[in-house]
Amino acid sequence: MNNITCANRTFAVCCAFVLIGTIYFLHSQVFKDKSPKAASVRFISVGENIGIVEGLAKSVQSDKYGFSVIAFFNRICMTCPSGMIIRKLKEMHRSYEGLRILALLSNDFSENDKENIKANLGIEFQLKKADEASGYLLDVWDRWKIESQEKRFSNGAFLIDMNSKVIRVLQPSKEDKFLQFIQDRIDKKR
Amino acid sequence: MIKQHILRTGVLALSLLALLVCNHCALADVSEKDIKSRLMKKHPIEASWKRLDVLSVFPTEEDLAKSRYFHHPVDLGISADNHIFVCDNYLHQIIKFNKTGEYKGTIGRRGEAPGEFLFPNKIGVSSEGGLFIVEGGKQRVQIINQEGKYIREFMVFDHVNDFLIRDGAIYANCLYPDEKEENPLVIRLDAYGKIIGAFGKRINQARHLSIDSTVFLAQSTNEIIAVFEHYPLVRRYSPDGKLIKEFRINIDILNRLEKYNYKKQFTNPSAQVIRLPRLTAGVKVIDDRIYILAHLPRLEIIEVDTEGNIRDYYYSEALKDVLNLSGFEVSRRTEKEAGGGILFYVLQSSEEAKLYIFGSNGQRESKGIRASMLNQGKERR
Repeated sequence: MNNITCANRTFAVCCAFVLIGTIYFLHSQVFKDKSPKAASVRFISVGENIGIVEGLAKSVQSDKYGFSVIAFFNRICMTCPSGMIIRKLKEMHRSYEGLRILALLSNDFSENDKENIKANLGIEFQLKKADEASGYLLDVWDRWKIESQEKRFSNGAFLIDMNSKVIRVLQPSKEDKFLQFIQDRIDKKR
Repeated sequence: MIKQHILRTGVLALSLLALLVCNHCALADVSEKDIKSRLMKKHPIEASWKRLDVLSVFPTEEDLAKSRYFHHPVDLGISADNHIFVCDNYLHQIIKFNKTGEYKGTIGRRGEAPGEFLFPNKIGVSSEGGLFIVEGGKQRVQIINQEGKYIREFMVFDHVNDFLIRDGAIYANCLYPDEKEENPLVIRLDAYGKIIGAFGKRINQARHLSIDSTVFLAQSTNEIIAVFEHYPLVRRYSPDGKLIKEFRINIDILNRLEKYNYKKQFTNPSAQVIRLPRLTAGVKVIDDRIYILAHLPRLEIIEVDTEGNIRDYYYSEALKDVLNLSGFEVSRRTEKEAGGGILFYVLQSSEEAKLYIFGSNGQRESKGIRASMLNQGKERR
């Protein structure tokens, strides 16, 4: 009799779990996120060759890790995704000697702002204003500028390999994945 | 028999589930307003308090008829010549008043060009009369004169909670994305936005992020005063950042509200939401007196001396069920102006969107109300 009761109880508890699970499943189906997925960026694509940009492109080539990071900023806000990118790139640049990073700032930033970014945020990697860029990189910047205004992005970034070929592009709201990709590349080379 | 057991266990499981859901919902639904309304029942007006009279309100019906209004006023500043400047976040303008609250026009318009504003959310006035406007939409500080003429600008990279200008330097309290040991309470910037100093320890509550250390700043002749928004704490610093004294504002309702800051289930109903009840809404200093605007449903202003003794307590029932107070200034009336006393400028942002000017009756020094001095000379962490 005791065995039967015990089995019944176990059965009942199992039923309860199934019931709870079913409710949870139904709830998650009803209230699941139905927001459309963000479209990928158009200003640059993987495989595109940004070529040798006089002066600037050469300086961002890197042979130690086999890639360089190029980041674009319309604005910098430390509590926004742009701040997250800046903080992480700053950390990586400090931790991995020889990692080449170039940040291009919108021409809305004054020379004083550029100096303040370096001093206030402790940036040691290359920081240039868009009007200091030239060649194909400037074309890429112009395309980014249009797209970023259209889609209200404040920052963008991509990686190029030693042959100036784009190997990864930061997609909107995917900063974590982009930064993890960089980290993985660094870890492989070390 | 089996059926009965299944039924019992099922009912029990469902009851537990219902209990959990209800409990979660109940905690998530507790609002700052609910808590304050509950606590106000035990916080009656005391005989020793001084009642404030409303001297002026903007906008009046007449103002509205002339299309003069606020949309979302978020901060106010007062110049040495006693002009009031209100920063309206949604109008993208600065609205100017004289000392008595008379409308004197607007400065700027929506835009990104020099002299235009994009979501201005903080304003400060230098002793020379320059207006420093922090624009949330453009991440910049723009400096203009009182006629709206552009002087210069620089970008800021952190969210500025409050700031003041002293001897050409800007003292700012900022929000940081992550709570780190090295984050200061106040940073000091030069007139072009470069950080030239930092001081003060923040309050680091686990999982509360940097919202814990939002402070309102004011200055006296020799000191910088910081009043915490979410804690009944006042700190006095020298202009170079040395802590002179820390004391508590020992008001029962503020002490009770503070306790909610330690209740994780209230403050963090979900991982993404942080809600802390606000205790204060502004601070100003005149001579050796510190005036603190309490963030309560009824207008209450606490006057403390530099030792933390409460010297006077002002209130008004003209404001009831206040949800959001967004600006506070104080000026002294001369003897010629209605027999002296103090003028309090209080900005209410949402719900009403109004600027109130309150006057005290000119009396000074009521008999000491309550005194409190705690943690003298050291910063609480």
